Amino acid sequence: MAKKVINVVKLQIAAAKATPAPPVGPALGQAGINIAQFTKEFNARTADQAGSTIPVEISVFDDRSFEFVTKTPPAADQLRKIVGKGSGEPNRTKAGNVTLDQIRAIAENKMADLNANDVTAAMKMIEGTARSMGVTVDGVDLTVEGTAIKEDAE
Amino acid sequence: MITYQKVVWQVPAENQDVVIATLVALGAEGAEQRTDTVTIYQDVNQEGFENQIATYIAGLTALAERGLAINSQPISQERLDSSTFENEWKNYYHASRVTNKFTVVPAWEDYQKAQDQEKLIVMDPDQAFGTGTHPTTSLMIQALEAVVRGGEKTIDVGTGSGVLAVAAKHLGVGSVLATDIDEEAVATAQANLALNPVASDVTVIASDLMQDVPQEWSKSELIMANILADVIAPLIPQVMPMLTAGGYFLVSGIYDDVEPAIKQALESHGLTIVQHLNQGTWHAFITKKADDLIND
Repeated sequence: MAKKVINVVKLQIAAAKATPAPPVGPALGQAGINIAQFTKEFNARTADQAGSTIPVEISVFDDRSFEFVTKTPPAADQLRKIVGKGSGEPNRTKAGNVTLDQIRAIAENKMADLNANDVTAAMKMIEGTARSMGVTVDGVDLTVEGTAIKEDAE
Repeated sequence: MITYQKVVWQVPAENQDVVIATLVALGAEGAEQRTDTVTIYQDVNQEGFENQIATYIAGLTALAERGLAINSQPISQERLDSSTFENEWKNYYHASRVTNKFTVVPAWEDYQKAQDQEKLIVMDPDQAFGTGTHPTTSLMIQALEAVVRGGEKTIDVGTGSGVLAVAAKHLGVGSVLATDIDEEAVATAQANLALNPVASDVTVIASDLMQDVPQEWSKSELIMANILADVIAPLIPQVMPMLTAGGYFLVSGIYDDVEPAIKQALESHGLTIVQHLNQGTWHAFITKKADDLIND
């Protein structure tokens, strides 16, 4: 008897630390899932990624059983983690600074998910995310200079 | 009951990661994503909750000013009471035959046995793990059915709702000690054991794995653990001195990707794998400690 997927819930939540608090409780409760069962399994499978916010996609079946898959932390979350939680004063012009090496590390980590030909192209995509978040790279304001990557670097 | 303010922003998929990272940096515990929306839930009884939502909106406004294509104003805001969803899953939790012999029955359901030999486990799992319907639980019950002969001194590590302790007692094991690291699970297990007269003599204690298991439980003939795979490895060396020669150690809760590592860890401690059980992406092992060597 094949089970039918009736709903797919997508969340981004703290690895290893899911609790019945929001967004897990309200999102999964409304989907008819036993919340304790989800948090136990999710925390087990993400124990090695504590400190990151990771995307999780939960398929809910017609009997309200579920399966889920987790992904690597988004580049935006990796930047947030470096800059630090609470750095967020919303109106501050600059949200913090990361180094070019850190941009490279994120680019290499997310290479598989990015549609980029090489690491430099991937780094430019990560810089785009940093620019939106108001994060400077090696002190360079990306909204002014565009990139902190020197063309002859590599 | 908790009342939440459900706040929804319209955000194109490609910009959702940046929006969520910003919300998390400003204090959100995470967010829910749909095709083109991001949703957060804020507890309205928390002090300054309205300021908190204003902070999120200001944060998203700053993103928009840097050129991100989003609307920082929410497209909807509504109140949501936890009572409307927290017990929703109970509507789908019904009596379920989990193995050849066992049926797990929710405490609130009136269920009649289909056959005389059918054994009932009555559960009110509340917030502890173990509705009885998860593959890891049914695999462990199958393992118990295979090894229990009667009268075994038994330890159930990480009992959760107590479902496996009840199953083991039905099959005729002797004294049972059930442990859980979580005090709330200990209370839930005690309440569930009280719903199942066959398991009324099971002892439940709070313990981090085997750490606080009293010495009188050494030489146990059966130790079972349906727990998170990442704590199975540290559990094995704690189990060995408490397990009698020729005794069985049953493990479940093993996901596909860690199965080879767990198997190796079990064998490296001298346990013989008697049977490997599998259901979908979940695995369980029946292992046996070597019999004492007989000296001529």
